[in-house]
Amino acid sequence: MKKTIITLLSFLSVSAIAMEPMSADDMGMVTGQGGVYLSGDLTINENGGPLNVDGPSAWQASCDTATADAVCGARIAVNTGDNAGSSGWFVLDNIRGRFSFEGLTLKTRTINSGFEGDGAAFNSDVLEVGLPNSLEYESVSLTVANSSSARPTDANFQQTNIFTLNINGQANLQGNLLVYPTGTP
Amino acid sequence: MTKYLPLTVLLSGLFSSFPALAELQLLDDSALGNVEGEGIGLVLEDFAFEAGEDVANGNRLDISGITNKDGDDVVLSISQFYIAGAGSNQGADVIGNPVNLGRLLYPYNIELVDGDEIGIDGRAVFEFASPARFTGSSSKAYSLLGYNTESRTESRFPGQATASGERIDSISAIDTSVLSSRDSELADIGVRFDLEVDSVRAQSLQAHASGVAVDGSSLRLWGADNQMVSNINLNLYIQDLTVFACDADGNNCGADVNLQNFVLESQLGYGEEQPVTFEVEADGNFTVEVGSIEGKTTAFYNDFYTQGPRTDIYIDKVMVGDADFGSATVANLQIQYLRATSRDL
Repeated sequence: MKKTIITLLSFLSVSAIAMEPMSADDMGMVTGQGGVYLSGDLTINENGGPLNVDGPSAWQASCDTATADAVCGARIAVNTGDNAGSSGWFVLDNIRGRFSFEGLTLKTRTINSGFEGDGAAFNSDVLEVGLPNSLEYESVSLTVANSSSARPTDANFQQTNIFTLNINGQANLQGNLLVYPTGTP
Repeated sequence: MTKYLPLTVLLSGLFSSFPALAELQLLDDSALGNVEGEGIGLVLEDFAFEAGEDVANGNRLDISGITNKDGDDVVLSISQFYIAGAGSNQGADVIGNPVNLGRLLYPYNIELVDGDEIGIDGRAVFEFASPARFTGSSSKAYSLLGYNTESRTESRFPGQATASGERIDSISAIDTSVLSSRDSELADIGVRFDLEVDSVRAQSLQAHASGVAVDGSSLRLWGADNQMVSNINLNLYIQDLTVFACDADGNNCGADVNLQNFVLESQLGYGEEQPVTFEVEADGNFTVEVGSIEGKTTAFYNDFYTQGPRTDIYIDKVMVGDADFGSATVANLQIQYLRATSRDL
């Protein structure tokens, strides 16, 4: 029994003695491994929009009102500006819906081979975003429009809708998005 | 004591590795000066995308808000939009048939560029660029089109000074060696959509492109006089583009309109001298403008003539059904001024 313990201890000490300081070069080779697996579910303006009072005609503070084609989603208005002082706004209006995905992965990866020979020349780290296999949309919609003012409740509000995009159901995709610094940072 | 020996050795081993941490060194000023904010490269590896497929199961991608002349709602209902690798068989083989978009050494790039280096003095310019182009071997530099040229001297703008330079006479060849994307990195992209008029599905239209590359394209944005200004470079190369229409059920399709070796090389705007702007007026209409070059110096016209932005379009072969319409060329199109404004109907 004693013999066994001594043998074990001797193995331990041998391996412990084998630990050596790492050179800076060796330390440089150590990279963080592992990664992150993400699922997401985002619902925008299911019940109401950015208005706290109702605007003209269709624009509503709440989606619950009985008005047909109520505009109650989020609104992004960008002033395009110009020298003559015109004050028009480019608008993404009535942004609503639910968007979800399962299985987006984030990790770092060293590429030093493959890519038809590019990998060896590249020999660097990248951030790899593994794209989810599917994106689920549920009644996602937005309207692209031009408007005279930022908010529908502003005086003399006028808006021209250009088109409306509606997405429902599933989009399938595969692959990785590789992100890395270019040049010599 | 003997039984603690391994522990002692282990601890001393651990501590003795600490000097490696001391390798962190201060950067001197000259080394810091070499640190430069560069761009972010993006590559889509083994990528395929498909949306709107399987309408029967509720997948929809609709563009609405358009009406026809009778006031009926017209909906463009996309029943498939796809990006895939070569041989997708018009969208039948998408997932599992991926393509690399961008190359490690020639990625899509997002960068804040020093305006002084690209003729936009004193501005930081945001640039989104597709994979760079090589200098051509048989064509002009950075162009897919091999030209036969002729020298011309003429006015660049009505009533203004004349300028001389080479202009395209005819297209001699397509030089794909300027593409940094390899053959295997050219995508298949297509769309099938149904035209729905007043809630009745009226017609199905399909467009399928194979061998698509956008190498050398870029979008530059900067701010000047409280306004966002841009320059746009749009390069598009399609080996084969097929467009056809079918009945509402996707059957009884008409003749294919087939374009082979379609090349679009378009530049809009010329630095600060000819800015491209997008404005929305107070009445809710929008204006797209490519700045006027009226009243510039002769030196500017000479430069604009030789280096300035231009648009070339070339189609190697146009086929409608079995009929061959030959090739089509639009070359040396230079925009002196463009203003497009929307109006309410």
